[in-house]
Amino acid sequence: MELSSPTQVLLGGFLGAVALGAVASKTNFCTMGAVSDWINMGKKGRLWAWLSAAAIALAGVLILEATGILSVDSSLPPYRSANFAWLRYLLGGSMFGIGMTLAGGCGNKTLLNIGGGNLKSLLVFAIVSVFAFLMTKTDFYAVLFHSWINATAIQLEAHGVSSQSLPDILQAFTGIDAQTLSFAIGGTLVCVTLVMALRDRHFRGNTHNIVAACTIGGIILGGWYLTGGPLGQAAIEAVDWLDERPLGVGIQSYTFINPMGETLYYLSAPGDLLRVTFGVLAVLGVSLGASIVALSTGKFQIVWFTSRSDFVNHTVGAVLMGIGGVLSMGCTIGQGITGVSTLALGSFLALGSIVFGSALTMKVQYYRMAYDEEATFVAALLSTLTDMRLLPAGLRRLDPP
Amino acid sequence: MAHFDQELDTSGLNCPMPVMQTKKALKNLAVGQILHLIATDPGTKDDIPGLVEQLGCTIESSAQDGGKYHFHIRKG
Repeated sequence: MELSSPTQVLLGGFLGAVALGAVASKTNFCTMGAVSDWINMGKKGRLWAWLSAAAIALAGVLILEATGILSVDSSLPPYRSANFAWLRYLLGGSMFGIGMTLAGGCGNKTLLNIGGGNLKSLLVFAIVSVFAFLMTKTDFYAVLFHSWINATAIQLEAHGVSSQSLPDILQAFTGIDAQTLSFAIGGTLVCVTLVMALRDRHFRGNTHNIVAACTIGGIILGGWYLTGGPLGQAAIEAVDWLDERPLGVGIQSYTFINPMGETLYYLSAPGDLLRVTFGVLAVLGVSLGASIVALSTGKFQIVWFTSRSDFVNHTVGAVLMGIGGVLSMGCTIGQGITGVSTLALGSFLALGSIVFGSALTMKVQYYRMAYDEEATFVAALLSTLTDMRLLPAGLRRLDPP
Repeated sequence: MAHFDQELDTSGLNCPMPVMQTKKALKNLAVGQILHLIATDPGTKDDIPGLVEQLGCTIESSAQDGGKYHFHIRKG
């Protein structure tokens, strides 16, 4: 029996996710861990692994687009949208960064943890799913966010810019062909990132970092090729003819927060296979890949909350992840690698905001820990913002720990 | 059981808490004293050696006991 093209795409996406989960688990790839290493130890090995994965995916997308094999102009989500809602990237990204630090990891790490037996992450997953579902399938976003977020959005087409991809924006200002700019900007970013990564001894000296960067970058690129290449195009055309169209068919690669909401939507009617999307299978696949590694290496371990504050932190973090992840249109993988590979300006804003939110939270937590919780949240926040040179030194309330 | 001056049990806590709590505990120790760290987060296997190196301390011994990771860290 020959599988239909939409089914082949779903199956390929699932297998890619299993590989992603296994590799990320085996190599200790963790975007929050990357920020933690940087903030708490001054080491950037895992940060370069993350950015190098994005660079590798970007290099591949540049080549595939230049050769006409695929275009990510009309992707799911619409990374290159001409409606440049800059505030949602900044706010959503910051919320997501704070949330993932409180909740013990980003969307991908949450799925890896579940595969390893972490029940705290299972609760995080459930809460993120509920809020992602509320944000995408109900009036929650429209009532709470749309009016004031949309009021600040910039309609780029009104300014003669066709999309928010960096080449299109610069083309409007310089008149240089967007294709040429794609190679100039993308190529520079790829080369600078990879050279800087290889100059860092903590990156080049750790095989795990190099394997994670190459494999995860390759899998994200594979997702784009699968859904936007010849097979993906055949799948899109095939579902156009169906009376009952499956959800979520389109050009996309791996991202995890909106798919967690889709997973909840599917689980509400598990018999309805039209609700099984690329994202739903990505969620399941990553956890499966991680559980295979955990079980085969003896690392599977049931973990539960250690204290009430541990529970509260994870719960609050999960709410912020669910809302922030949808608001910023992606997580550390969805925007930080997949989005960045499209050269969309919003993806870079979201990535920077996620890192900022995470670093801010870690530093505030460390101030409070160092002062044995005697430091108020406000004092710790003001001191952290002073450390980050975002506030004048006079506002510092605590000496650096 | 190896000698230690202070014990820190981070069982059940995820990254970055074990790293941050270890960093704080080591700052409060005198040079030469030993911290016995217990952790369950598999990430600590890679994270703690990195932190220890960064702080100029040394790992005297490390062991895995079931799902628990034990580190004896000498403050440098």
